[in-house]
Amino acid sequence: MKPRQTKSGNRLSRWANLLACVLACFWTAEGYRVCHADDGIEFFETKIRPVLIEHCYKCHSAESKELRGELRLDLKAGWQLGGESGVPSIVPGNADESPLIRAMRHDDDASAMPPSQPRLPDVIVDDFVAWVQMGAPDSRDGEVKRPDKVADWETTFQDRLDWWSLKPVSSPVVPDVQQNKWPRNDVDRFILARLESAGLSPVPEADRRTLVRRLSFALTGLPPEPELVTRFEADDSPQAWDDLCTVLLDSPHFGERWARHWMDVVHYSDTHGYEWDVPAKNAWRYRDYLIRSFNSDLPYPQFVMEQIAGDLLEPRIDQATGLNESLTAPMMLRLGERRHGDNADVEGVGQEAVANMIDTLGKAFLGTTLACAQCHDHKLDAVEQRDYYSVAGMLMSTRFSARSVDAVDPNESVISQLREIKRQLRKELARLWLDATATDRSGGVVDKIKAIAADGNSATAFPTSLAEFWKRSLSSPMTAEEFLQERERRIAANQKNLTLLADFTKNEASGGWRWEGFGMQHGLVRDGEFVITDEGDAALLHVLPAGRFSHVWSQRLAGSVQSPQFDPTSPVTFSIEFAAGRFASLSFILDRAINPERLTFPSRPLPGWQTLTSGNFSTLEGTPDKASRRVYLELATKSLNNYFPARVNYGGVKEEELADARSWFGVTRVYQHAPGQVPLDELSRFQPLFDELQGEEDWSLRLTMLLRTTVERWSAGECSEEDVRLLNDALNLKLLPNEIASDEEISRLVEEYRTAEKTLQPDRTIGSVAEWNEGRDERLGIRGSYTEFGDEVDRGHVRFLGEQPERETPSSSGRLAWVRQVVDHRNPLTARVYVNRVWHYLFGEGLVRTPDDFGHLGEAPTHPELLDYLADRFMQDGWSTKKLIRLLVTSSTWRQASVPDPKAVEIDPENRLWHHLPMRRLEAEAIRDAMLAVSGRLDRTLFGPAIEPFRTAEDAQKRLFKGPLDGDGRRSVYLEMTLMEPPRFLAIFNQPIPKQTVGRRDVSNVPDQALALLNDPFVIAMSKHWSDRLLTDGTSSPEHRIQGMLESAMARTPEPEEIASLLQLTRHSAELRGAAGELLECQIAWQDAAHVIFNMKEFLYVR
Amino acid sequence: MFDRVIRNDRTLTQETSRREFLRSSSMGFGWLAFAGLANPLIAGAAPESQWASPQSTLNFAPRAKRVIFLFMDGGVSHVDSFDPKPELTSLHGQPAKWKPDPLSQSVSAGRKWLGSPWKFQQHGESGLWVSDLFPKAAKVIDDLCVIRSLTGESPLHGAQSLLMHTGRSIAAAPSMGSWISYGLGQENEQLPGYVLLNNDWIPNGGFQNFASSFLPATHQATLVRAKGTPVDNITAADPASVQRAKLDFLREQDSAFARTQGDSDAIESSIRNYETAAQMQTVVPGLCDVSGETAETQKLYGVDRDNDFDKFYALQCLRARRLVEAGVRFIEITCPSTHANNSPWDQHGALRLRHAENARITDQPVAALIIDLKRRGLLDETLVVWAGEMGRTPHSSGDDGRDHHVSGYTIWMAGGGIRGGMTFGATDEMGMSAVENRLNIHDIHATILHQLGLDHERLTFRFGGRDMRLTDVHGRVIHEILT
Repeated sequence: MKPRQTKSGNRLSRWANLLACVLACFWTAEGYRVCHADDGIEFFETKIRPVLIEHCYKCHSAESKELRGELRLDLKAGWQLGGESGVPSIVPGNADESPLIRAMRHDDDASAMPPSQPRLPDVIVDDFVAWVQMGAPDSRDGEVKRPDKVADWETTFQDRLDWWSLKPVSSPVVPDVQQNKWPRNDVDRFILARLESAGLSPVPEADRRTLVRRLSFALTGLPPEPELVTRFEADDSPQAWDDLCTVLLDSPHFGERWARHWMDVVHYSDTHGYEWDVPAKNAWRYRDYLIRSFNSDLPYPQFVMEQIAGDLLEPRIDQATGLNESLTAPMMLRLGERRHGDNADVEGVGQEAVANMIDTLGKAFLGTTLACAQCHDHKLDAVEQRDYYSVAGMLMSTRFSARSVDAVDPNESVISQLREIKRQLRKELARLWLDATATDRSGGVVDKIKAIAADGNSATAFPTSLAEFWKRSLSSPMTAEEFLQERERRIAANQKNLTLLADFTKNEASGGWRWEGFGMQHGLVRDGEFVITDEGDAALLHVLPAGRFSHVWSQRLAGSVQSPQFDPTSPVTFSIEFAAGRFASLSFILDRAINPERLTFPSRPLPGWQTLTSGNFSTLEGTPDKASRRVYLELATKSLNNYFPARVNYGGVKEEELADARSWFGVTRVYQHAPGQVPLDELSRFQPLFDELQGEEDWSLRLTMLLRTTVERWSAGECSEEDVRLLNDALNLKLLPNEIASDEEISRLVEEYRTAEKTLQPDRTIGSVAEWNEGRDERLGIRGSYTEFGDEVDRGHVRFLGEQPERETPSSSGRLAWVRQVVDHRNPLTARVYVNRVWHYLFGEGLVRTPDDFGHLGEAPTHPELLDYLADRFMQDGWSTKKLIRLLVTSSTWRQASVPDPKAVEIDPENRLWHHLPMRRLEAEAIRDAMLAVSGRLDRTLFGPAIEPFRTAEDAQKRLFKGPLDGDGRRSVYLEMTLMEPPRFLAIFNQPIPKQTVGRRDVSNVPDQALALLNDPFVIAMSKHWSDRLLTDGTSSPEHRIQGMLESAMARTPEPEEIASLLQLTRHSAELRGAAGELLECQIAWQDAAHVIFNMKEFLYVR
Repeated sequence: MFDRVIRNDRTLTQETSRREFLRSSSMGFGWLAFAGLANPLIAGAAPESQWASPQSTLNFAPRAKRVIFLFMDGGVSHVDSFDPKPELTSLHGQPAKWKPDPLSQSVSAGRKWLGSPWKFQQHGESGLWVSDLFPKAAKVIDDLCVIRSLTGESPLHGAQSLLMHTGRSIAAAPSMGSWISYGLGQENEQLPGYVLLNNDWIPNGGFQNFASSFLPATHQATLVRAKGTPVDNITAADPASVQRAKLDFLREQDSAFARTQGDSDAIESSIRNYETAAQMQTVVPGLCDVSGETAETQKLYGVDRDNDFDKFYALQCLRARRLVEAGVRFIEITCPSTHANNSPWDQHGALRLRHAENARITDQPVAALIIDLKRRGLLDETLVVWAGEMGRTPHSSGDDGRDHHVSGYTIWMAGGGIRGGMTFGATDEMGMSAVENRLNIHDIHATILHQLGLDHERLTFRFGGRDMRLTDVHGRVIHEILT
């Protein structure tokens, strides 16, 4: 690398030479203009043009296959006009300011030219500099016509709409066929017609046992139970196959199998990956939702609408669980890799999440690569860049909040029971407290006050508590004037300074603030309500002012409060009075972040003011789009906090605290005010102290009387907010008895309360979405940029789906209107894409072999008419997945044998015409589940939280712990899908990494799989489990046992030589292992037999 | 894997039988072989002959046959290691202000310059500067090309780690090791082409860093652990005789099954996998076992060191050399995380203590690797890359920690046709921004591929309708650092 000085030195000296030359011309002829002989054109022709031709024309001329950066360098007008930046590439006379020269010098990385190559030799660069300095003479005349992008795109767009998958679904005529006996239904006629025209025939039907096994795996992902095989084999009725389908379609395991397919499409994971692999908030409830949805054959449009806009639909309630299914479904949008932090920490966090959602929405539901249009109009499909930002606007107008999904409140009766106990307790406590505040009571409040010692500070600060007033009285008792003056100052200041933003003492919080959760629902209280402790020696936790508190009945009930969106252009200062404990969080949520790192976990046992400023994010200052930030405030208990548990150690939360369901907070009011002018304690509760002052007062008596009258009001249910403060003050000072032990009746009531409280059912929550009618359009990101913007784009409109659907309200996100358009039968994609997925899962390949892409980059359907027939029929049949599956598996096409006719293979090697039903390797989950089932270890329980997968090494920092080796016998669908480390055994067999839609799994065939099957402890454990069971099977001979084993593993009757062969291995194994005695009793030999069966290809493949 | 390749070039099915194709794919069919099949102009490229002279169809004459990537994850501080900044030292403690760089944080409030606590000295004939943090690297400095101007995309571990490994900071893309394994094919069919020598810490970004993504699965990294059993399931669950009996039984049964299925290729391929797997059980533990190395060699690497972190890192470095000899194409060694909750070099605090600790763990084995490769004549054909996913800020809000930094940081390369004893690129006088020969990771990737004889613009795989590249649409070969 030459040092810079030398380079510029060269440049200078060359420039000097040229200057001399030019000057010479100037002075010797009539003038510069006429100096043709050496006006630089020759220099251009000899030094510049050849270089341009050699190094630049490939991408920057009329001959370029694709004109890069819209820059032409084969005409003078080309560099004058410049490229897409719109800036001329050369500033004649100023090399340093000329982008072309800068690019040649590699001054800026991004635009270094020629691209991906070293700089051109210095001597060439110097020539160019000289040429520019002399005014860039250029003889190449001609006009550059800028393409009219808008008009061109419109033509292109219209052309692209003319594409098979965007045309309406037709109702094709079922073709005639020659082999009339073969078809069982219309599917077969479509298939056979094509086979016949290719001169091919379908292969014969597979044998019955093969068919049962095939159907069982296809519908439930499990091997058939032996009785089912025998029953079907013995059933000669024409209905037998249909009946078998019914049994398996009705099996609860059907939902597990088909939910797992859908989980590939939406890339289901239980965590969010990246650095900390934080949990995806209770995602498993969504997995259970999927299982229920498939089992109940939820019509597909409803299924789609719930996942995209379930929060906006009438709740659909599952009767068995009482869950609001539609509100559970939008977890779909949130699945995938999601960073922690927000756009104010690192620009792009939010945009990346949205990009992933758009990618999934496009591929999963529309078979369209929408996300390709983030940076530019789609290269091949009818997707505009505007479409991308239109969907982005819709998603960014949605809040990604945790939600309570209980459709019905299971706690009403317990709460009325608790209410009654509280009523009695209030009476009992009042009795005790009045006794304690009796002025003649020895050891009562009077004595306790007297025992409070003075300290040095008493005289300086204005007293705000019982203790401080007492201490003050010991040095210089306060006068009424002094008190009143201060009180009035405070009242006046509050009146002047504060504007009420939200009032949680009312049924509807004002100002658009909202709450969620059972805790909040039952948490609206009047002044003087109190909270009973759920453990320990104290009876009361505290007394509450009017407001909404999640823990009024129990700390296990959930709550959240959200503010409306703040105006990002003018930050608001406000104070919120709240109390909180046990890791309830307070956080600003910026740009819809789901794992915000702004959480604080305030521990605030009594309500107090906290002053906050919206939009006070220093890292946003000076960014170009501060005004577009979306900011709101959220308070939430653990279970309604998206980001709980947060990453390990965040906010000082100890890992052992995570499982504790208790968490609480409550809010009274929110005031807006100027910075510094915070709400002041008005001290009205102390006013009576200064009524009728006599001179020489007994302050202990006065304070006691003050407390006593307060207790009297509390007892009568008539106390005020100020009274509440005084009571809490007294409780803190232990002036009022609050020990359970102090009174038998109180002890009994508190115990009763605690017992009943434990029967309350906490909210079932999940990460979902919410709609606040605060929709706003997104701006188009120039070339996908996060910081350079074009116009705002109308949200909720993907153009190829038709006219913009009308939003429910102008300010809604547009999700509901959009999803209605998606599932409208006039949109041809939704049904086509889905029936193709179902076909793919049943047949191993789709009719369209790129199930996630029906665009120009995907494959065309092998049987377009059949695809349309199925889509049409699917819609006619009420979009029933089960009917569709039944139609397909009852076809003769699906019942073909798996071995192809060699002649057919020659003509159609990829089996695009379906001349046989190809053998397939079982999916990862089916391999594992089959081992569980055959060994007898399978636990058929449905639903529930994810089971940690088995691991050899743990990583506590990412909460990757070691689960049970056999997953407690549960099916693979219940194993925890951590993004950081999904179950390894499943990954080896191509369970996809859940980051993006995978409609079609890889099927690899690598030695790792052999190693796993030979040596993985899970496989060995299942072999052992099976063999242990076999030892007690009461079999009469090893042959019988082997026959039984092969029958249950392969669902067929083994040949005698197979039995002999496995028997030989079993004996051989017993010998090799030195096991003596009866073979039937030799556990290890049978374990070896079981192990080889698990390794047999016939076990691992389905024919 | 098979399906995918077939789908990706339909001409293939016409030109070669599925069977033949499959045989090659089970051995880790390389892109060059693929190119040879797909392109009749590349003569004599039958798959079986590929392994004899894989370079015969390379884009360029290769300078290196394989790569060792020493991943210093978390981000080594460039201003404390190979990029001395006297000006920074002299302004130590002063409020920090810097010229805006789109890649560095814009707010400087409360930040102070933090001079390096380590001393820099010139070393070797080249007189390159190395700090006291890396005394052993200093001894081999004449073999190293110190690149001081690498930049990233965003100051996040996960994103940067993926970027470094796959050329993309988000979404799934194949690891560079997978690309190289795919591009060159396997030298040794008993071993995978891409091995990850892990030290019980999975870098941010997870296994995605080492995954083959859309490339055939055979090119994903095989993970070799430092402690305990080196490879998943590599230890035979059965005594050899029993396993042999099982394998024989399975071969017989499965072959019969394959026949009932019309000689299924998939089954036959799967049967062969069992034989490879059986060989791996023997070969891999042997390769991982360094007890046969001379005492001198073991000591050179520091396998004898007391501390587990030190010992195991040394072990992995020594294994790397053995894998190089055995013909593995791409070997990556990751760092151990000595302290929970931090990626190894991520010292926002306790910089002095933990940077020194990490250096203690890695410096000696890494230098030993250079020395050992060189004395065996392997350094010339082995490209060694030492890099973290980021550097660390020259400024700090405390006095013993540095934060994430991607606007200009240091890595080094050695061997494989890279010029030793030179520096390339520069940051400004405070070490904030790369100001000379600013590079990005695509340039490093392009250069690595180039040294292996692969043109980063031609090493492609058709996926999702695009010809995908490791370097996406970027990358330039850094010719200035080549011999």
